[in-house]
Amino acid sequence: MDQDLEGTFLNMLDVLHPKIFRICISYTKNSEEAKDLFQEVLINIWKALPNFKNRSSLSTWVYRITINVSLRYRTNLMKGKAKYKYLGSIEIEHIPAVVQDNSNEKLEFLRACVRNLNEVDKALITLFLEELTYREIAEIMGLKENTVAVKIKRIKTKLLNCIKDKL
Amino acid sequence: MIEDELIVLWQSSPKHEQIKFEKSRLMLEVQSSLDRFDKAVNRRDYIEIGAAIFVAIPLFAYQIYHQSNYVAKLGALWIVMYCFYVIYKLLVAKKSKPEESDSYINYLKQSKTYLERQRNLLENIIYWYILPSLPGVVIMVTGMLELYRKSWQEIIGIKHLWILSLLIVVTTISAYVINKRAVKRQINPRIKKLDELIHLMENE
Repeated sequence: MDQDLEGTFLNMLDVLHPKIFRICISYTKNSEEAKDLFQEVLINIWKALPNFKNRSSLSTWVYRITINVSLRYRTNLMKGKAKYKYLGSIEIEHIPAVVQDNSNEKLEFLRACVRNLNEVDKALITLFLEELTYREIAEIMGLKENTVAVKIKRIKTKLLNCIKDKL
Repeated sequence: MIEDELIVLWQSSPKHEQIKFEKSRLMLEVQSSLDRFDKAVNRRDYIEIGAAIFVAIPLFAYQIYHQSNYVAKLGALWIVMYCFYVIYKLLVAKKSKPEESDSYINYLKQSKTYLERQRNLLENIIYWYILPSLPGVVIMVTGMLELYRKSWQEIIGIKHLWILSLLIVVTTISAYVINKRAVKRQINPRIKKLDELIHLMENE
């Protein structure tokens, strides 16, 4: 195993794993399913890492893989591709959520609204909510920056209306 | 609720949902999982292509040498060439798998191209897989049984020819129906979904 690659992979994981996991949550029904998708994303990142060319930043490249693997996972584009045995080294912390505070409820509403969006809108808004710039989002999605701005403005309105309806 | 609140809310994972991993174990597991995946893909390739290379080609190549009848030799040669053609078609179909590290729109387009190639392969299975093998089988059987020396009445009376013909008809119809169903149930809905997403990306 290449030590440099391993270092790059683990460092990336330290910084980006909460963000990757949040994207996975928006593409799945619950956190256990999100864990499966998260593992599949990690394996795909590791598989593609030797071909990373520094043409974009590592994080942009990782988001691209995350979004594309999530799309594949959800729409079952490539039949029979998910043949990985899932990894015991990854766990979701099981601390019982005793107090369901108001923010948790709001977060669930937000996630429900994001899940209801179409796949393209979902990809755009999750990247936006992870505070990527329009330029980075445009690079990941393969769209023009202006188009990204227009689309995100429209999705935000949709999202805020959805949350307002639920609250 | 304003935009900033939305972002803060999105990034506030509940504690019970936080993901944890053991780095030392993770690397070993990721690598071995990937190896297993590659092996699974290779195994599939071995079954499809290995059957042609290790069974059909040696068997019929031996028949070219073994058969005394020149017509039968010609039939065996046809089948060997047909096997190479099938391998070529399968290898070409395996190409163009979408790259996950490409941009979203390119990934959608590559996935569509890949699925369209798969659809094309399945829909035309009769033309590239079944029909090209038939002349080889017919020529070889003609040579082995020396049918060209027999009258029509004698040929019709050969029971094995009827069984062989029935087998060919059943195989052809089954292959056609199974593949048509696979295209309809598995590939077409995915292509439709991709078209919708590409439309959303390009037009809205």
